[in-house]
Amino acid sequence: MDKEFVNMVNANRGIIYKVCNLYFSEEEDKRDLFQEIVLQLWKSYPSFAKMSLLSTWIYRVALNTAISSFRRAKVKPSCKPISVLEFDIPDLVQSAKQNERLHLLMDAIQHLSKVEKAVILLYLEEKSYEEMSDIMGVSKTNIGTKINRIKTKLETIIKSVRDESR
Amino acid sequence: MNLDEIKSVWKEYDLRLQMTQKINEKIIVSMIAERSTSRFVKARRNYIAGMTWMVICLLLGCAVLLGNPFDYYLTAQYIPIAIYCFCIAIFTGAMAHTYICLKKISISHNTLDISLKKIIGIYEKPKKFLKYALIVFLFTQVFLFPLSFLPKGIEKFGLWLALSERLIPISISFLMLYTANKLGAFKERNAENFKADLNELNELRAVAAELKEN
Repeated sequence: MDKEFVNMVNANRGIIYKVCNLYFSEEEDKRDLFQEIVLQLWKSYPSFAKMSLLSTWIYRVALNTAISSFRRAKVKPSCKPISVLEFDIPDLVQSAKQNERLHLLMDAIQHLSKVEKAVILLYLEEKSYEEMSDIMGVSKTNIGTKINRIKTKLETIIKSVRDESR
Repeated sequence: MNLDEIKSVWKEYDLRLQMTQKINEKIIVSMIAERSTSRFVKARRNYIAGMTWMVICLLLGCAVLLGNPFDYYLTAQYIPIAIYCFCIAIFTGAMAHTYICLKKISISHNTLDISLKKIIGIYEKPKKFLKYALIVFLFTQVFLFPLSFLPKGIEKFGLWLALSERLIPISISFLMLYTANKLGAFKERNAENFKADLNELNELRAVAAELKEN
């Protein structure tokens, strides 16, 4: 089970990276969130009943941690092990400034609320309404309404961000 | 940028993230280590708060002994408060001793299991003695302290009526104590948490060794 866990985290690291990059811009905050997500996954892994898809479960744990738990228990440890300090969350936004469109999109997403960020992430990941409602714990109708509102909001933000930068 | 463009940008971003380097399992072990460090720092901070509270309680007990606000007139009436002060002094001393021992330990990644074993040992050592002290303390507060007002009651209402009148505060205290116990107020959680950390760490070490072999 343990070896399985490490492999599982590695196979789905992209999901965790995306959540971290979406919710924080500071490297230290991203690292803290990443650790908290991995710990929550590790804690709930034995009870993961495989009733839902593995990715659904990872999204649920990661987004729940980012939205609620991490906000409540933001107690920063006084010191960090060297191996964790060496670890960087791949951002690809800062490192690829030439990719203007990605930079613009990430900038616009930062203007959304925590819950809106979660919804737009799942939408961009092309999750079905059913999966989204399973991850977010809200009804499909509610998800549909939210997506329409957020899409319009995101397009408006992108437009204004682009206008500002000109 | 329209929605289709947004989606294509995101897809590209996703693909590039998938191609990033794999995470070393050592990092996951370090995360457990960090959580222990944070819990350790928190436990030490709690000890300082606990000791401060105990000193305040001790001062209040001493004030009762010296000032006699309950108008005790028999030496026996002072016994519950004297036991209270004695027990509080023991708890404060035990806490100070544990705090000093914990302060000597530093958690590092390489010596995490040794440090965790040491911490658990510090918590486990005075457990039995403190358990007896706590029983004496609670018995005194629930039964003996309300009875210290009995002599006055006997003078006023006679023996049986005074005894039955004293049953009211005793029952209330007992009920409060029972509820607190049911809610886990007397559980020592720190040692349990550190034990869980040690178990997790051993499991992760086994994974790391297995991965190395493979």
